[in-house]
Amino acid sequence: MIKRLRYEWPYHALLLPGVILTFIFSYLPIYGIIMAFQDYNPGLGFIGSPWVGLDNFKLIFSTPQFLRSIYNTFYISLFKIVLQTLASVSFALMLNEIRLTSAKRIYQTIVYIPNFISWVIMAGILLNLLATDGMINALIKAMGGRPIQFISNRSIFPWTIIITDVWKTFGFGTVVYLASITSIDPELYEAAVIDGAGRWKQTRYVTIPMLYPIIILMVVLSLGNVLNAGFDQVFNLYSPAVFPTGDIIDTFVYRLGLQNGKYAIGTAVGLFKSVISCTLISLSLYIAYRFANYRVF
Amino acid sequence: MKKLLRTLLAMLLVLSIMPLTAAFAQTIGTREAQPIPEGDWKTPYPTVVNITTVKGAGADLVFEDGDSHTNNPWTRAWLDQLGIEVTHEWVDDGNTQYDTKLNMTIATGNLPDVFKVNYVQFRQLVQADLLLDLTDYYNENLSQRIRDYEKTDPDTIKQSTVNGRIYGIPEYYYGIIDQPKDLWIRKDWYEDAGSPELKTIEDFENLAKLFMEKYGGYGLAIENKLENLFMTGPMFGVYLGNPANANAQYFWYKDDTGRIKAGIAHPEFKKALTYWAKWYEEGIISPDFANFDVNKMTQDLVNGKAGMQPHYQWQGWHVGPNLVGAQGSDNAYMIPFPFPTEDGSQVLGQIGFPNNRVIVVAKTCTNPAAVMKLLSFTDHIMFDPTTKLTEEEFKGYTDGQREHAPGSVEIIDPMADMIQFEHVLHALKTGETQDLFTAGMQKKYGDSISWIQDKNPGGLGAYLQQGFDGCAYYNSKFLIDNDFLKRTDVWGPPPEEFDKTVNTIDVLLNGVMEIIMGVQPVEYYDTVLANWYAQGGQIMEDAINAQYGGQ
Repeated sequence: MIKRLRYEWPYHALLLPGVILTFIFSYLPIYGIIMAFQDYNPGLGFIGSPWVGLDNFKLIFSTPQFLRSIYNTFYISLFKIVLQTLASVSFALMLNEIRLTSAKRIYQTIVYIPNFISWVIMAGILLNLLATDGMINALIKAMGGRPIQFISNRSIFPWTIIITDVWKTFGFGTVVYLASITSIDPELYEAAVIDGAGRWKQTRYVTIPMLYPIIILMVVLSLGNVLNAGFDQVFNLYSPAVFPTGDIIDTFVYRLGLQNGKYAIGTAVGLFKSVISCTLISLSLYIAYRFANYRVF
Repeated sequence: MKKLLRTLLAMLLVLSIMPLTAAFAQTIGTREAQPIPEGDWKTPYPTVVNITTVKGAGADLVFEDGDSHTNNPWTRAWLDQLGIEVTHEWVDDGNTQYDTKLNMTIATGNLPDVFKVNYVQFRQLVQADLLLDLTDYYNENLSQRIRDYEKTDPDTIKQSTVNGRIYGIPEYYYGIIDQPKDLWIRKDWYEDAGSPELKTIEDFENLAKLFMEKYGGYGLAIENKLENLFMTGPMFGVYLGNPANANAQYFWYKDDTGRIKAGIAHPEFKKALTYWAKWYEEGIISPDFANFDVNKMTQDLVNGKAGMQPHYQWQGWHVGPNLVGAQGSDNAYMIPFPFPTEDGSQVLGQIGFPNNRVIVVAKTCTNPAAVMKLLSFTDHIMFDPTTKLTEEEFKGYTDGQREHAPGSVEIIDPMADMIQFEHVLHALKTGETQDLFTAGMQKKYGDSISWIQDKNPGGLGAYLQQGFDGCAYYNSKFLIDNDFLKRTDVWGPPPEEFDKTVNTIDVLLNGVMEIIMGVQPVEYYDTVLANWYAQGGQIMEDAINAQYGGQ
């Protein structure tokens, strides 16, 4: 052990800054969780603030807005995962059929670029594009349709969130799936060709089945993140008009904890979310190991 | 080679520490308790004392080259004239995270000597026994001028008095003259329309439609927190709070039975909703208002997409210069009008509890009398009619919004703007400037003149607030002089029980927006109100009645 450490110490030293920062910013603040069980008073601090047991949890669970935000979070997240996977896989398959390498790279870059634009900027662009007098509605009106309130109609808003997120991020998934496709053994395609398979049948019977493990892995790993429905996206696009369908746990906590200064109640909501997220991450890692033979530890 | 590298690294380390030690070395005042100098508050400390503070500084606060929060005309005057050195432990530039940063500071237990708190923080600090009892210092070391503010407003200091002892001094406010809101209208468009009379809601609607017909866009600029739309409540005989301000989300009135209720529970609120829904349907309110934040609302005004806006008396600073610049016309700015009413009767100005913050001193402060001196000095410079400043001093204290640079020791005369307005307007009308006896008056006069004579957009805010018959304060003064006012029945901060509720404002905003946008009929408001009561409104109403019912 010591001998091995003597050999490996430079690598451990390189890890050290990351470990220290993680400890400071991710582990030390865990202490603050006790606020969830207190009537927190900054002046009295963590030690002196009076304990209230589960009162903060009782309060949030008796609040319809909180329960609604849990539903919205799951709804938006799950559809994002499903549609993002479908879009990424489909686009990767289509890109794979392009023979001209330069064209392939251009398309790949175009769909990948939005991934690097922050939601603050993207939201500004979308608010203009999707406004009643914006470009999309101008197109709809030109085709004889009625303007659609993409951002302020509560039935449409969650789908605006889902679709714009899929549009923004599917380029990343495409790169991953395309990389997997290129690593498929060419002999499988040669065998399929000998058996008389055309391009479509090669895709259906060779490419897609060979992608199953990575698809399962990506989906399962996403499940662990299902309670993060995209704070920065929703926060920059939502309004009180769409709270019933667009308010997610993170935006609810932000308004409660930071804007209204109710730290204890905000922490209780945050703790609830962390417990559920932890369970989901554990579950997803187990499933990833079980079905895709993927192990983190 | 290794030795050389080691030496270089060591030198770098020493060099990097030097500015830090230099920063510490800059502190010259003592933290030891010093005897309070005999005489009035103007008598300086023979030994310089150090006072620590924290501050939220507005984004528009500008210092001269080489100056900073810790070294500017105010800090130099405190040091030279009072023997007090003020050190800032931190400054929240932009003043957007002040409360959060202060809560973190409080949580560390290392409080600065003097700082401003909101009423929730005040309550928590008193409970934690971290604040100094200021009663004796208030009575013995504070200027008579500031103590006389109690005569103008005897009730506000009671909100920071606990068991008969003063634990906080209100920062006060510029006077109730700054509270009534106005309907701001594009001057050039209004004149092009023939300057029609604006007495009734119908007059307003007709003018809005005329603007839409001539200039496109929509009529009335509002944003999605409904802060601006709720300002129109007095048009319909309802008085509403500010949904965007967590400390003043509701306006409280007594109903016929004497019970205090939120303005949103007033029966006439449905009339307001009916009109708002109609305005939305007719395009007077933008179909996209639900997506508008304050910046987008302002942007639309600046770009000529709307020509009307309910707003505070400071609208001229907020929209004025950008509008003039973007439209390229000296006549393209917005002027204030009293709100019209349904039958053309006189509208009432809404007066809420105006004090937001309290100046407190930490129990650990070793020289609390120095804080009283700082407050007295700041007030003396800005509001005392006997103060005589040189041109250089005046500019040093007030240019670049530096009248707000004192931060935690900035206290405001609650009659300031009322007196200021009368003198500024008189000077502008007559050219007689000898009665402009405070720095504030000189500043507003100077800014107004710079707009009137040179069309300097930077002076537009002062001009629209105080500079002509028909300005915002002119409208407010008319309401005050004739007692056309609706005062809140709760003269104080929200009770502690409000902390036990969860985002009641969300229930209200969502319901109101759905009604305005036609998703729900006006009758749906009964359900919204019932939900509001069920989700915390009842707790708040009961707490308000328990605390202020006998006020």
